[in-house]
Amino acid sequence: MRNSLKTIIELNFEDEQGLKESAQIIKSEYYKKALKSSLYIAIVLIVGFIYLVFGYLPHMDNTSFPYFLVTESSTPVSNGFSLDLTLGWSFFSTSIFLIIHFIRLIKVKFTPSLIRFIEKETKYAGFEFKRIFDSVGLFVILNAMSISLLFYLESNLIRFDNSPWSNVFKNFLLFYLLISLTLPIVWVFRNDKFVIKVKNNVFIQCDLHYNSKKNKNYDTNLIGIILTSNRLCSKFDRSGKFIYSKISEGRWLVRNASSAISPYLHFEEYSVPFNFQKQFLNIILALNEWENNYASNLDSLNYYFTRNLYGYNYRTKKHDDKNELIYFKFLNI
Amino acid sequence: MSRSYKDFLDKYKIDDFKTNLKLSGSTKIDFYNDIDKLLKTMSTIFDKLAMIAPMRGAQVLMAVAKLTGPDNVVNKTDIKRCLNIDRLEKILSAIDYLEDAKYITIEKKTEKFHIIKLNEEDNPDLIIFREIIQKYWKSPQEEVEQANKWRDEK
Repeated sequence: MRNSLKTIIELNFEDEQGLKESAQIIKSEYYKKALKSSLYIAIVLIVGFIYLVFGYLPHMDNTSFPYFLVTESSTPVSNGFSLDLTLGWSFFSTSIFLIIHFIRLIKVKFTPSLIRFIEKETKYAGFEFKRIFDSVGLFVILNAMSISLLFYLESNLIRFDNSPWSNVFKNFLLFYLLISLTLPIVWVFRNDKFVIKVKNNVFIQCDLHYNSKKNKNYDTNLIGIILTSNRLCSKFDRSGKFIYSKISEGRWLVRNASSAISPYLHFEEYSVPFNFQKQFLNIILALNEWENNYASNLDSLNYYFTRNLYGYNYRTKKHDDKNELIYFKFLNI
Repeated sequence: MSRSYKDFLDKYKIDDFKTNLKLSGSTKIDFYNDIDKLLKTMSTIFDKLAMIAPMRGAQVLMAVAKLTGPDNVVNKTDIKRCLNIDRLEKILSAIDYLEDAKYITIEKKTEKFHIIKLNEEDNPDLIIFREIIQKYWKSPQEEVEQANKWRDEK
């Protein structure tokens, strides 16, 4: 069904025909989005190239970026008021950031209609689906700061001499310029995500997986949504790991699928649009159980350690599982 | 705790007719816990299977079993609410299928009022199904309530 007001199509996963049609809609929306992002990248590259060839290279001398910052010259020696450095940096940083941002957008497979579908499902369960794209804001703030610093420098409001403090400031400025570009780029990959906020400090991250290419061994209509909880505890916390495995086992959660590099445990659940709400509730209730059992287990630990239990050998208590550490409260699972 | 039916039989030597089944004291508690665990696992299996199938028939059947009771009158809206589904249209084809397959019966009292029941007469296995579901299965509606209650906790 096409919503004429917002032109966002309502997806239907209730029957095979609806599933096929919805998968096609999602794919076509994704291709449009990817094409649009690629077009933006091409525009940024063309504009950047034009600026480089016609605006920057012909006027490049020892006052231009980056010579100015890395040479020993004290201040830009320019004939009159020039904003080469400021403009050059603004162009360079914005182009790099936009290219990275659009590449990331191509990688994110969520499309408007699917976002709307998940928004509706989560809202119906009483929660909120959010898009967190803070990197743009971070880039604007950090870059505005670096542009104003460069502007002050070029308009001679700030001057460098050969004093040690001046060198420190120059190095700091170089470092800041580097950070103002790299930090938002790292942010794009680390923190730009789709999440469902459950409660304070508890959230579930959503990732979409589907195969957009034709593959004989893979059902192209299969759209998978990977739900990952926030960090639970360290992988080396044996008591936490025990509770984690018990809960995952009882709720049939996906195990050992998280990154081998990550030192933290996360709950993970796989869903398709048809059973999204149920699987989402499953991971939420797993988090609820985690909070109840892990927190009370920690409380018990604190209690027993503060009571100074001489000769209390908890490993000899009657428990079947050798991996079981202090497990005072029986898991209610 | 027994995790399989075979282990359960072996543990209590139920299929060994030379040994008397002694259920006293802690053994009785263990025996009860083991049966409880097995039935709970069956309920989880029903739940997970219902989520794999692309049609909502299994979910609707579980909802009818959950809501069925001596004093309860079950209709389509109750099922929709129990499964926490936003639109009734999502379960109508499943209800039609279950009625055609004679897993449920629908008594039409008036134009708009109807009563849905599990067809236990034709399908006696549904009796144990209902008992398991009523005791162990948490409906999506109950899960939503629990999740929201936890969310609102400070």
